[in-house]
Amino acid sequence: MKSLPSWAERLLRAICPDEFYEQIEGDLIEIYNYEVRTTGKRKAKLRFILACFRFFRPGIILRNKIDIEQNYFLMYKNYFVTGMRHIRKSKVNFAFKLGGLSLAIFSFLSIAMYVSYQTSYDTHHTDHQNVYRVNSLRKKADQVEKYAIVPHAIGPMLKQNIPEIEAIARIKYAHGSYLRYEDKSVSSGGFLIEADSTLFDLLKFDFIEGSSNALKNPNGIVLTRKISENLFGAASALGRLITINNRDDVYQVTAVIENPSHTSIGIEAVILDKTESTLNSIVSPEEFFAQSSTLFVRLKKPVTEQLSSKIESLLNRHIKKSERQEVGFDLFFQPISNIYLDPEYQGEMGSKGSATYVYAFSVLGVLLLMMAAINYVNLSIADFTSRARETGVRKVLGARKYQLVSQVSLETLLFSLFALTLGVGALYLLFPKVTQLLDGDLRFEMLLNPRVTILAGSGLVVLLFFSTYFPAKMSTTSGVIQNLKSRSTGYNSSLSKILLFVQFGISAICISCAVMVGNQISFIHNKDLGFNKENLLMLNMPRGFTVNNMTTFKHELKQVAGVTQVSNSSFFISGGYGTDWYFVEQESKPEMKQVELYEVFSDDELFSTLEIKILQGRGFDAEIPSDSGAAFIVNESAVRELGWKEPLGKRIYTHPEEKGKWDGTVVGVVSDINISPLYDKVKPLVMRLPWTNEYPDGFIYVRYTGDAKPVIQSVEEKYKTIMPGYPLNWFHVAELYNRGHEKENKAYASLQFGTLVIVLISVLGIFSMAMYMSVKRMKEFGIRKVLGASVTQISMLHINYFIRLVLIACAVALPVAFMLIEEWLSTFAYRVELNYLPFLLVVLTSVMVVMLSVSYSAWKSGRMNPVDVIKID
Amino acid sequence: MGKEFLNDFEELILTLVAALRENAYGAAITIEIEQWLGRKATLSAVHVILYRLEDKGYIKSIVGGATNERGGRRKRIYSITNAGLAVLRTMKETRTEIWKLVPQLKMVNS
Repeated sequence: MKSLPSWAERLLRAICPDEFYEQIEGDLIEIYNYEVRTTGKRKAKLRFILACFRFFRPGIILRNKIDIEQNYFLMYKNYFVTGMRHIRKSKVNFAFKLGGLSLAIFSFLSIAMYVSYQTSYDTHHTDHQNVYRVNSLRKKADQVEKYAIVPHAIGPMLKQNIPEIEAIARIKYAHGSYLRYEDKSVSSGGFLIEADSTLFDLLKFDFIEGSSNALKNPNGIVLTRKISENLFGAASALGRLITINNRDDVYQVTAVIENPSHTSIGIEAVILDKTESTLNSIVSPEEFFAQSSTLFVRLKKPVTEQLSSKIESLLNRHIKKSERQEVGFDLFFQPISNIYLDPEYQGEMGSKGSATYVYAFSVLGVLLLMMAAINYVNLSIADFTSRARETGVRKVLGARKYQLVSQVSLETLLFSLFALTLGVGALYLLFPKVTQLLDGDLRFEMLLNPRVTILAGSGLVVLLFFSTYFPAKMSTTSGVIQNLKSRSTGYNSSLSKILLFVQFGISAICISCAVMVGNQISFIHNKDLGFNKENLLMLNMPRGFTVNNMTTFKHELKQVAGVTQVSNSSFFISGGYGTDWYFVEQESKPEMKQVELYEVFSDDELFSTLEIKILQGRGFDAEIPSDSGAAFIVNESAVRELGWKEPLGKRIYTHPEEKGKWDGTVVGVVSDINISPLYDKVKPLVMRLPWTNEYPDGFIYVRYTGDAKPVIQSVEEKYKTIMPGYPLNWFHVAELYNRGHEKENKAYASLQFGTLVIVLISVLGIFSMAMYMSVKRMKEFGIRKVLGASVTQISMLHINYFIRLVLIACAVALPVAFMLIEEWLSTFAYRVELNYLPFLLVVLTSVMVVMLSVSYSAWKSGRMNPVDVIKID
Repeated sequence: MGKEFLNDFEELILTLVAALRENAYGAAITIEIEQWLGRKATLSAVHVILYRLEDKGYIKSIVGGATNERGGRRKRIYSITNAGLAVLRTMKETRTEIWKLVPQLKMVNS
């Protein structure tokens, strides 16, 4: 006994004519059994399989009947013709359907490109799955903080002791901000890097000149194309000698790399790292930051448990476990491709993306596609219902189910292809606008990137499926007689109701998100920051700028026409503060408390220059000598944090062990000042004059009136006389501040656009749906009119149907929107409060929009002549 | 003979269909060929020729009973039609006529 293996059975069934299949199978089995008896099992089996394949011959295959089926292909032409006729009959509907779909495809493609670009950072490195950044954990004020840096000595230690590690490369910021060639100097933009010579073996950068061996030369320097062009123009950079800042060391250009893009690692110029260090910095908090670097490793295979335990025991061998645990030090690996979108760790170098916005955009893309699909389905159902008679005739003439389905699919397919062409065409034309809105690094060719293609392709397939399934189901399941009578009972109004409902809901969510995000953004721009950011310049002084220089420079600056105030302080707008430990007096308790506070050193003119409000007491006074070092000014947050009721006169000691020498008192309270983007809460801050009236190297703030250009020019000239050869590093404070919110601004612009598209699609949908519904109910309206209904009554009847849907949708969607917005706003320390007003606004706008888009058909239904509609049938 | 030409394999199968009578079906014919002529015939070739002969009207078929030997599949049993028998006979006679033209030499034992 033997039956065919299933694959052979399938093969035979596919190639043999149905009427012979059973006998062929039987014969094969019979011969097999005969051969088992005569020649043995193995040979029989072989012959049996061979015999199966031998049926693959024309004498068998050509016996399959294919002539009847061919008719089905001929029908395609007919489908096409009737489809075209239908389009010609309902041009508006067609245009709206096409416009909505193309718009959705356009937006979806842009979003697909953006998302795939954002999620594929740092995937171009060779073997990137095995490249990791080694991060560290460390306790800071009893909380474990994640650092993107590890002590410098860890790298070589891992490389020597752990065989799984194939290569390492460390990078850290180098001192110096300018590269000089002869008498020309160019800012390195803060990305002058010291690195191991293995950097270019581990991470991939495109070399324009030179090779990845560039750093093997101990005095070599690698420049990006941008720096090279700024320094040398179009000429070759190789072999030229340049210096860093005003130092004497000379570096020879050994390679030029393409400006890094699509990577989280920021590099402008790279020199070889020659520093040595010990593992002591693991336990010493002061040395930890100073002696650490970013460490990249390439493993032979992905990270395993075993590797972590090996590292654990290696660390224990070098540093006492108890000591290590006290500072909470540990290492962990982060895949290089995750760095860009993961949250920012301490000491991170280079640019970061925002996972939140990538998710938000993905959701927006899916919503867009959903809207388009719903719209398309709704309109197609309406379309096919109005073509019910055609379907009926086809059925009577013997159309089979699959033929009707193929008619629908074919129409959808052609339609989507057309829309796809339009969408891609629009993307091509509007591409500069898109990159400006989303990401400047996007290129149109990325559309052909497999990730984008797969993403967009799968989206389109889903869209196609839904927009084929429902109309096809409609046309196949409705009764023939109903079709023929053109009675649209087959039209599933509850389905279209649900679809419209979802559409309204999504629109409502998007509109309210856009409104609230807009509110928050204008809040950010208009929030009282505690100082006046307009007409304010910040000059960044280099390290080692002397006190004398500072005094002269300040004096000189005050002479410049247009400059009203000048101040020098360590106050770093858009940057951060330093912290130190202070002993402060407590309210109603005699003993002093030790607290860590953020500190700013500043001269006496800071408050008037930045226009910071002094709430209590006074500012610093240069005339009072005891102010220097002994006078403290705190901000509101500090008062709150320290629990002071009467802040003035409270004592603050910096070194209590030397009694009397370093004692100070609070002389004033200022309002809170936001120096960084509004994600962060204002820190408790103490401000003081430097002890010996020595000005720290830091920042100079210049308040000016009138035009900024001449002021900047003369400021630069003054600087040149004091520090010849150094270009001046200056910023507009307002610009600096806005840059911190660039992501929000961009996201807002895109969200606005996305919402606009979504609303537009739903408006198109509502308009066509309303048209269709009005035609459907025309007879009802006619009878009503005959019985005395007025134009307004009939119009309202029509509009009400949609208004009711909108209101229900809003009731469901708005709580969802509320939750989403609350979630987003919670990332800001300073935010607008949610109230019902914007939501009310959303409801009102939705109702208005619906009324507007329905009004045309409502007006038409109200105005029709009852005779025209009732006489039929 | 013109149109009514059959090649030798077709003729052989037609003859076997006539000979095997109610036992004439694909597998049986294939096995018979092997036993009579000692040569292997592929089942698919036999089937193709059976279908061709049926198309030409020399044989006809009915679907017969299933046996255990065939895994419960039914047989298609062929029987020769009058036309088939006529063709077979004509071919055999033609061949005999031609054979008669061959000088009948006596075999001499050597």
